[in-house]
Order: sequence, then structure tokens, then C-alpha cells
Amino acid sequence: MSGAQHTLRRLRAVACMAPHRAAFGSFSPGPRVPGFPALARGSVHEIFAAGRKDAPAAAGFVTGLALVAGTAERPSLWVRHTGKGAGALYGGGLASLGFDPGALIHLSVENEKDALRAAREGLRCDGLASVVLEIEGPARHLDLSATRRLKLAAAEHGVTALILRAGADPGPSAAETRWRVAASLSASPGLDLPGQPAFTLTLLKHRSAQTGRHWDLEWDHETRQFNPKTLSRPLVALPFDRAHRADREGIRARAG
Amino acid sequence: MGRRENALRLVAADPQARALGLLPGLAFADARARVPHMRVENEDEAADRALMENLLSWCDRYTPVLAEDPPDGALLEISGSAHLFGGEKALRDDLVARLARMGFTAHTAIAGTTRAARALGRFRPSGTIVPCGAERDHVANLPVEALEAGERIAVALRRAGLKTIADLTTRPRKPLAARFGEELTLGLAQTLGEIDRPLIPRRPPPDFSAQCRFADPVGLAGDIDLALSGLARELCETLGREDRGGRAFEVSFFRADGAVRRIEVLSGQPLRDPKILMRLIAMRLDALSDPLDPGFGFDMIRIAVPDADAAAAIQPGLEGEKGGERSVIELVDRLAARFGTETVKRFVARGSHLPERAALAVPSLAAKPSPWPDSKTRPPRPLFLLSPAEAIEVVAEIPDGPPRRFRWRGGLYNTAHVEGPERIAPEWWRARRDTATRDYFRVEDEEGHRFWLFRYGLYDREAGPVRWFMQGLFP
Repeated sequence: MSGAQHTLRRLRAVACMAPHRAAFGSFSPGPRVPGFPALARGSVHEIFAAGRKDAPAAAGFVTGLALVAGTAERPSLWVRHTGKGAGALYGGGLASLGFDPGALIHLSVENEKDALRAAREGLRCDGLASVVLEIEGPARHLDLSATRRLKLAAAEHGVTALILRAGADPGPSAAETRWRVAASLSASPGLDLPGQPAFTLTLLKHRSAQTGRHWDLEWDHETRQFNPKTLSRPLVALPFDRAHRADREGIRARAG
Repeated sequence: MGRRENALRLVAADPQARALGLLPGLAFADARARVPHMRVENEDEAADRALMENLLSWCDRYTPVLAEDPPDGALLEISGSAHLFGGEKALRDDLVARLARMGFTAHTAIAGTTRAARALGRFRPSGTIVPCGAERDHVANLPVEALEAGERIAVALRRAGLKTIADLTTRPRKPLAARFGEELTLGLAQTLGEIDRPLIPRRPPPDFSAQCRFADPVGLAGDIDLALSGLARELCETLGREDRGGRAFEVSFFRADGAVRRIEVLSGQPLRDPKILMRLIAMRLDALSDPLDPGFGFDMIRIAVPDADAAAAIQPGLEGEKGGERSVIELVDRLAARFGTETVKRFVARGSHLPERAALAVPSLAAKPSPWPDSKTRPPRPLFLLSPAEAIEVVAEIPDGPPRRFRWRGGLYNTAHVEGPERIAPEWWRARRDTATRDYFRVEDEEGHRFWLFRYGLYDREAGPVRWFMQGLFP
């Protein structure tokens, strides 16, 4: 391929994605993570759980993204189409991740078409920060044209769409980025206590970053960002339910 | 034919049977002896009841204030709506004609009090219309049975030579009350129009409503939409004049053949924007599992606001852009209209330590925004809650200790990290079946999956077997 042709192709690619990028800016889920790409607001991002067991981890990652993508006091919408085994979304858990449960509208629908419709409806609402569309298992209707429609709605109103998929393989879609998330062993703060939620991420698709990279991240619910997983921890130890709560909190905060 | 007083008796009879002397109340054996080839049907109380309900819903077209008049009547308060039909007589004629087309024979009476109307309707079935205040003259000739004081009293009155209501009106009331009871004199006063018995409407009358009647029934979707948007505009104008808005709207479709379909649309905020209202109605109609069936067409459509709330006028933004908060409320309305009010939820914190009760998901339309308690001072909670918790098999190093290995949904997990126990005692002040203490553990397996599980019951200190359950999943 000649040099001129190459330049032309690159310019065309930039021209195609420029409007989305400029319109609503981007957010960076992990500013302290080397090489971690920024994500566009008002676009569609797909997050796949590596296995069925990794569904909660993927949901945690999505919660983190929704939190970072959100701007000032805007609520989010979480649309679920899952089996019974997935459990119910829990307000206390959102709060533990630093997400205000009061700022989430959620609904569970019986079929996939309804889920898509609800998500589209949500993306057309200017007042929302993000819409999470969670579909468990293979989705027949979530194809290239459906995701493109979601993307158009998202781009028009500046709402970020996060598609959370468990038990499914990536298919053709118009998503801006695509991630695979697996749970990873957390960095224990000592005494064999579990640490912060930890994830292993693989970037499967990104329009302007190198794909195929892996990151080991953990979510910090206090600073509300993803950090590189720390391998060593200060050895602090206190069992859970003791009188000096303030002390313990201090330690947990430090551990996080 | 139905069972009354332990015998098969006639319950109802058609005019032909009545002409032959087969009156309701006659024993079935006697009736068959008189007319051997008569056709009888078994009584079906449920079907009668349903028919009556349908008829009452149908009568809603004439006035929203109506009540059932047992056993087979309906009381309609038409003082406010007669003019819509061109007067009382025109309304009555319309009602009788429509019912006749459906195959019913209706006896009607219009009077100033419910009791007088009932007595006249039942005992002089000629469609009397009593001018205001003239009840006394019109009911004078009715038999004393029209007071419906019971068979025993009616017989006693007849024995005393008091055969018509006129005979009673001329007598002092007190001796009558002493002999036959207060009920009779009260009934008499009500029938004469001296005091009124208020009509308790079957459904509360709406605060606002708009309706449109069609000379020819409409059945095309486009026509119905057009009528609905006209009504929505009219209704919203009325609401706007009084600075009010509706949180609930009821759309009633009156089908030409008498069936009535009602659809409810809810809104999170008092609403009086015809465009939004129309959109909600359209979404609701779209979502009906049992779609609207126009049949031979609707001859009337009504939108009513059962309960209106105050809503101040809103000044639109200068740039013409919508407020974010407002658009979210509208989104919730739309989602609720499409997917059901109970489906769209928000979390509300409650003062409880039991995880199932602590964070309640309530319908978004009803949720009051409440600040969430500070989560930094609380132990972590799972993102997904399994409720009810799922039983698991656990191996622990010591009985009271944390789990070492467990089996859940057929998979075996080895514990890498554990935090706990966090002890949550049962809420003894609530009558519940589960009375055992729960010890919660946050567990991470060797692959990094994190779980929230608990031991139900304490060894040696609480009765009953000790079991383990999976309660939630951490990210």
C-alpha cells in the first residue's frame, strides 16, 4: 500500500470518530494505570464476563465505569435481563462500591427485546449519566444494527451505554470498546483477609488504542477509580467486629 | 331455577312464563306440574354477578357517580350530567333504547331521592320522571311493599288496613315507629323525599374528566388516537386553568356492544402536558398483554383524573432545553407505563441489619428520595443478593470457624481469603420463623471469586441444626 493511500485511510478513520469524541468528552477509569485508555462518553462500551462465575466481577467493573462516566448528580439506569440465578441487584453492594444507590433506577424485564427497548428509551433521556444493559446468555437481538441504534441514541444525548454480557461470546457490534473481565485474586491486606475488588481486564476492541492488552486492576471505592493491583500490602491486622471502629476504618482506608 | 329455602324454586321468569303464572319463588315441582314442557336453566350466580358488574361499568357512560342497587338495579346520579344528553328524558330514552338493543328490558324512574327512585322504578315500571319536590304525590299510590320494610311488616300493615303509602303519610309517625320500628318511618321519610339517603358511588367520582361521544362507533387506530389526543388536550387545559396536574389517569373505552375497557396510566409527578400524556397512553396501550379490541368500534372514550394534585405552572428554559431532573422523571413514567409500575425500581435504605430488609427495592414512582447511610462505616455488602439464600455444603476447620471449602451449585470452591464472622442476630421483635443467629463470612476463592455466605444457627447455643447458605456475590 502506498504512503498516500495509508494516510488517506487514517484520515478517514479519524474523521469518522471525531464527532463522538468531541461531543461529550471522555472519561478515564484508571488515571494511575499505565497505558489504560480513556473511554468516550456518549458511546457504547461492551463488557463481557470471561465465564459465568465472573459475572459479578464484570458487573463490578461496569459499576465502576458507570461511576466514573457519571457527571454531577445524574442518575443511572440499569436494565437487567437475567436468569434467576444471577441474584438481585443490591443497594448495599452499590454503596460499598461507592455508588449512591439512590441514584440508580433499575428494572428487570422478561425478554431481550424489552431490555433493548428500555435501554434505548433510557439513552434518549438527557438527564441520565449512563445506562447499563445487562443481558445474560446469548442475545439474538443484540446485533450490529441494534448496537448501532444504541450508539446513535447515546451519541445524540450524551449518555454512556454500558452493555454487560455474561455467558455469551462477543459477536459483531458497533460498540466503541469491548472488554473481557475476569475475577482475580484480591491483594490481601494481611491475615488472609480479602482486599479490594480485583479484576483481570483484556481489551478486546478499541478504536484508538492497542487491543489485546491485559491489566490487573482493583477498584478503590473511596477515590472511585481503578488502580493497579498492588502485590504487596502492609501487614496490618485486626479482626472485623471490634470496638474501635474508627481504627479499623483507618486501616481499611489505608488498605484500599 | 335455583335452590332457595332447601327446595328447588324458580328464581327468575321471562314475560311469557309470568303470563302463565310461573312467578319467581314458585317451587320447581309445582311449576313443572302446571307447565310440563317449560324450559328451565340452572341459576348461575357468578354469571349474574359478572353481568351486573358489566352493566354497571357500562352505565358509567351516563354519569361517573353511580351505585349498585341490589339485587338487580343501578342508581345513577344524573343531576350533573343530564344536560349532556339533552335533558333527563332524553337520557332515559337513550339508556332504555341502548339496553333494549342489547336485549335487556329496563324499568326506570327519575326522582329527587334514591329511595323514591327505587320505589317508583320497581313498583311503577312506566318510566316516571318526578319533578323536584313532587315525590310525595307520585309515590302516594304505591303499595306499602314499596317501602321494602320486609314481608312481615308489609303483611302487618295490610292487616291494619294500610295498603298504600298515602295511607301512611296521613298518620302520625310516632305510633307507626312504635309499632313497626324506626326502619319503617325512616324508609317512609326517604321515599317521600323528606330526607335523602346519600348515594355511595361504586367508584369514587374523578376530579377531572374529558369525554367524547361518537355518533358512529370508531374502530380505526388512527381515529382513536385522534380522539385521545383531542381529549388529552382538553383535559390538560382544564387542569391548567386550576393549576392542577394528575398523577393517575384512567382511560375508559366504551365499546358499542356494551363492554368497557379501562386502562390506567401513572405518572411520577403531577402531569398536565398533553404530549407527555399521549405518549404515556400510547406506551401503555402498546404494552397491553391483552390488546385493546375495538370490536364493532367504541362509541365513547373518556380520560379521567381520579385524583388531581397541585402543580404550579412551569416556565420553560430560555434555550428551550429540558431540565435534567425533569427528563428523568418523565423517563421513569414512560418506563413504568411500558413495563409496569412495579418493575421500575429504586433503592431505599431501611434501618435493619438483615440484608434482605436493609436495602429495599421499591417501585420508582412511589419512592421517596432518601439519603443513603454512609457506607464507609459499614462492612462491605455484595453487589448481587440471592434471596432466598441458597443452601451450600461447607467444610470448616473448626465447627465455629470460617469455611475452608464449600460446594455451591455443583461447583467446589477452596477458600483463599476470609473475613468474618459478622454476626447478625434475628429481629426478635418481628414475628418471623427464622429465629437463629447468622454469622456472615466474606469469602474469596482461589480464583478470585468473592462470595458472601453465612452459617445459620450457633453450635450448642441455639436449637436446631446448623446450616450454611450462600447469600450474595461480590464483584
